[in-house]
Amino acid sequence: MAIYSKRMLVQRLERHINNGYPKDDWTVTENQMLLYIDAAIPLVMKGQMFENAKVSGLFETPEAYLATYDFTIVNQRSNTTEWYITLPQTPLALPDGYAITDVYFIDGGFEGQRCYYLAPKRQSYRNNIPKPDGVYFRIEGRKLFLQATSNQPLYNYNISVQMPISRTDDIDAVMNIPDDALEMIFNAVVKQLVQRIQMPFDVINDNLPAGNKSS
Amino acid sequence: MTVDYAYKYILWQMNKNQAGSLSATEFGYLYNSEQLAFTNDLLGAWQKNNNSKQGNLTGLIENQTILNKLAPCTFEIDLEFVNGYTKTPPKYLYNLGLLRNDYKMFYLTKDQIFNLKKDVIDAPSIANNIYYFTDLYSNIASATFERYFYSYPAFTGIAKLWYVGKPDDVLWNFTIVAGRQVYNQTGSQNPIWDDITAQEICNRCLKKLGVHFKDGDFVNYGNSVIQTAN
Repeated sequence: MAIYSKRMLVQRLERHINNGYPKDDWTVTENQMLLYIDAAIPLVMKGQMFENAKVSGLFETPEAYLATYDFTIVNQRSNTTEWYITLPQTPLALPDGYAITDVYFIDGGFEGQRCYYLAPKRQSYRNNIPKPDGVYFRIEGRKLFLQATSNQPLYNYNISVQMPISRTDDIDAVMNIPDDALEMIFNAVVKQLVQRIQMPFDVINDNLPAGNKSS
Repeated sequence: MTVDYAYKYILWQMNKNQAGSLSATEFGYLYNSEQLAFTNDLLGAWQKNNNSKQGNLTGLIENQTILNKLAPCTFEIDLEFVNGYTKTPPKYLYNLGLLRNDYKMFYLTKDQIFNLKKDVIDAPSIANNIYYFTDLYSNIASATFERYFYSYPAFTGIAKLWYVGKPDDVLWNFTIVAGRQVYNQTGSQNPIWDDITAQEICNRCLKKLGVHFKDGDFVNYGNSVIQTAN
């Protein structure tokens, strides 16, 4: 029980809603449950970030949500000196620097230079003022673009990206979710499911008296 | 309960009420029709959900009492699908569960199929073990008309089905001895039900007989034993 996977959460929700094992009339599949869960996670996380900021005065991404992914850069944007990787999910809609918390190179088993975040709207100015040498990145949907100040090709470099995630690779993977968020996620999904199972799908309330039905 | 007991019990009640007699063939008609009606009741004709659940009556309320009563006609079978089609078992009445590779096959109504074809969340997939099925009375592939299940995706292989089947007809078999029908255990088919249920079906038979003979007292007697089980 030490490991809390999404499957465990899915099954906990199923047992709760059905008061036991789901029966034949339970038509909500695991994939549909995951959609509900994945949608609830970032909402809960954002709430926690603001709650934490009230205490510490600092807006931070809670570490429990963070995961690091390793990539090898192979794609260059056509006609430019930008290179890009495709992230495992679209970054969450957090303020600059919070949705992608760290980007650094890996070389020969060591952490290499860290990359600088550069908002696209500032790029025009930054390109014309002194700035530290290194690699700058920007984000566009699931793509993370990298560019070296020297325009050096980044082909085959290894890079690590740390980011808060709401999804997992598969349903059995351990969730990057702190225990103090689980109840809120659980409740958010239950709310959706209860709404769903109470939705009349044809006409009938059971046990109605004889005669024409009003719905 | 043996079929002989059931027959004799009904004859005794009829004799007590001086309501004529019943041949072995008539007893077969009577008991078999009543046990089918009783099965139908168990399958949900009279069931009412009372848990404030919305939506259609789905039929069988799968509680332990009812499933226990239906146990004698509850079966498990490996169904062999060929290109998506499989014949349902001969006595098949009601699906309790259908599993392919231990994954549930979801039942679809025909008007849901068009959505299934566009599904991106749970698209039918053999690789991901996402299966659906619907029931038909035709097989386009072989142009035959029988009761079939058809699966989405159409696969060839085994699926495990649990189902409620039609109860076997009872038969009071006899030999003629000195011009009289004498019960012959060989060739007879006893009721498959537990004794309590078999007795209840006898009582329903008596009610039906009362209607047949236009005997109000007899009908009332049948009703009272059904309602009070006494």
